[in-house]
Amino acid sequence: MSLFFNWLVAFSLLMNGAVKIKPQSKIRLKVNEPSDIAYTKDKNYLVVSDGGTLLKLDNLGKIILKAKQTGIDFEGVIELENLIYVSDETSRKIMLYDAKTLEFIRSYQLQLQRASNSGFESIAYNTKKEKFILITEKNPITIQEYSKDFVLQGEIAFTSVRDISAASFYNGSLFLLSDEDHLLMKLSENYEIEKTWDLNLLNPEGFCFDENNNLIVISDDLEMLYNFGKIE
Amino acid sequence: MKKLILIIIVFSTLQVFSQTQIGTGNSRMQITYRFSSFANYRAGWDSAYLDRKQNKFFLRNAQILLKGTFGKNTEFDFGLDGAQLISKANDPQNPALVDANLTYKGLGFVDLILGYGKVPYSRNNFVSFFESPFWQRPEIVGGAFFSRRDVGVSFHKSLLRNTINLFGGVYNGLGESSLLGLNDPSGKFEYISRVEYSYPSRYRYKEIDERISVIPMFSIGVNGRYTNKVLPVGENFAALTQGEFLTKVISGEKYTYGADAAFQYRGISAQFEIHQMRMQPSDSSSFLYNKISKSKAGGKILSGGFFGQLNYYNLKARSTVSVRYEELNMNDLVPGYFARWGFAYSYQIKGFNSLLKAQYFYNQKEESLIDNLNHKHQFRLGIQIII
Repeated sequence: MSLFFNWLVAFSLLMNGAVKIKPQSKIRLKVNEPSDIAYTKDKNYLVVSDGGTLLKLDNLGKIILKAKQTGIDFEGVIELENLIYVSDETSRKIMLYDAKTLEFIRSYQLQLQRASNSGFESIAYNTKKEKFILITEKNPITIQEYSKDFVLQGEIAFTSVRDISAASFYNGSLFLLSDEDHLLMKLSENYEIEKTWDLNLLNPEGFCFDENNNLIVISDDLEMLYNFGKIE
Repeated sequence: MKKLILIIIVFSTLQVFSQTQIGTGNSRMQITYRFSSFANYRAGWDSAYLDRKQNKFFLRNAQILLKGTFGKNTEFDFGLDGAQLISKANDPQNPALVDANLTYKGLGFVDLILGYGKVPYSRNNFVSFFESPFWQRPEIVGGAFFSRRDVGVSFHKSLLRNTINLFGGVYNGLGESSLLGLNDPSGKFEYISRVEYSYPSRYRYKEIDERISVIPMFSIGVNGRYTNKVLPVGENFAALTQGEFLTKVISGEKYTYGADAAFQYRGISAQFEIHQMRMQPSDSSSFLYNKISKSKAGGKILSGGFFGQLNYYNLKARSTVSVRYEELNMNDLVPGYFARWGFAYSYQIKGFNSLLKAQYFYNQKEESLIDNLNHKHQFRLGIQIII
């Protein structure tokens, strides 16, 4: 019972302290079930989908490039040093692509004994620690740290929300997104919540920050891209 | 009652682990164990009725589910319920064989489903029992009125961001009894189709708004099924085939059609379904005519009903409260109808993976001759676990 009360207190703090924000503009995407988004150096978007596709979109949401190599269930994407890293949740693989051409380079096979849809839902890179952060969606939520060649370095349980749908480093801080609680969270180095934003959005599955520091969020069910403007 | 409390305490302290996947490539399989058990108590019995055998503990489910893929385009589902394996009842609401089917997605324009599984008729049929706050489905969609599962081949197509779903299939028409290996002397199939539309996005097959939808969402569906199983003279359907009310399979023509609607917003959700069956028995002396001449009855028997359910999910309290009202007229040539109120409360120890469920049914009216329950009140209290 004490676990329940701890959760209740944490949840109350989360919801009551969340800043409510609204999107300033939105774009309909022609992507089936988009599950994560990243902003690229060449000022475009990378979008992955539940169907295992990786796409490059321009600022208007138009598809400009599509990776030939598909996966099973892509859930997380980041661009790092001219490479694109994609988390394939069902296969527990990290797929590596060339950032310019979207040519497939290689994959890393990770180990995780979970349900098919409870794999790594999000991927982020901590430039300060030089570690990848992979996070499972739920049952339970686990934050795992990996080296650059995907050797497990450590893990920590995260119990403040019901699920995690995306993660991204921005201005030196890790931000997490919860789909079921439609909540964006800013975390400290010790993975403690510092600040929260209530997105009031249906099925937010992925987010990123663009060059103007605008928060960009995609909704899986609605297949929409929302621009929330600056949040900090 | 002490035993039940003990069981609840034991299970509520369990550390529940999630399902496990074997394999990581294109060939992989997920194993899930689902358990549910409850205590049943009935009260308000008719004075002439002495049978109290239903006042006891029930093991409802002890299921092993295997779900996976082989190759890029083929998925499989297999489920077996150990709690029902030795049951003689062949309960359509809770059969021993849960699923045994293949889905082929390689065609691109539609998914093909082959084998034994749920038929695409009624929204409620798509909702897992383990995601319902109740211990029982509404009577009209529980499997006694029309079958919930069958052997056959069907297709599914999603359009416009999964807001439109189309289903169609050809089945044996013997429902869950298709597995008994009994012959169908009529040699005819049953045809089933369903169309549904959701707005503003796809609508998952759930009764509870566990995600606390931030915008109002709704879904509507219409479905129909048709069969014309005329028995040759001297032949009969096997006893179990025809179902509890002897209307699931008849010798003659049968049309079944229905509509449903679902809504959810901010933790409040509602479902409504209405169905009607038009039976035209080939035998003019069929018991379904209730001793009324075929010509006087217009050559048909109408049977149908509806239910409405309202739910409220409170995230902070991890609780759902639900109320349901249902009516069913099994035969328009038999006086009376069945009416029942249902109330449910469920508490999420760990989401739907570890859930306490309490249910109360009040049988307001009964349809004499056909649906004689002999009691007014029913209580159920139990737990479900998904590992």
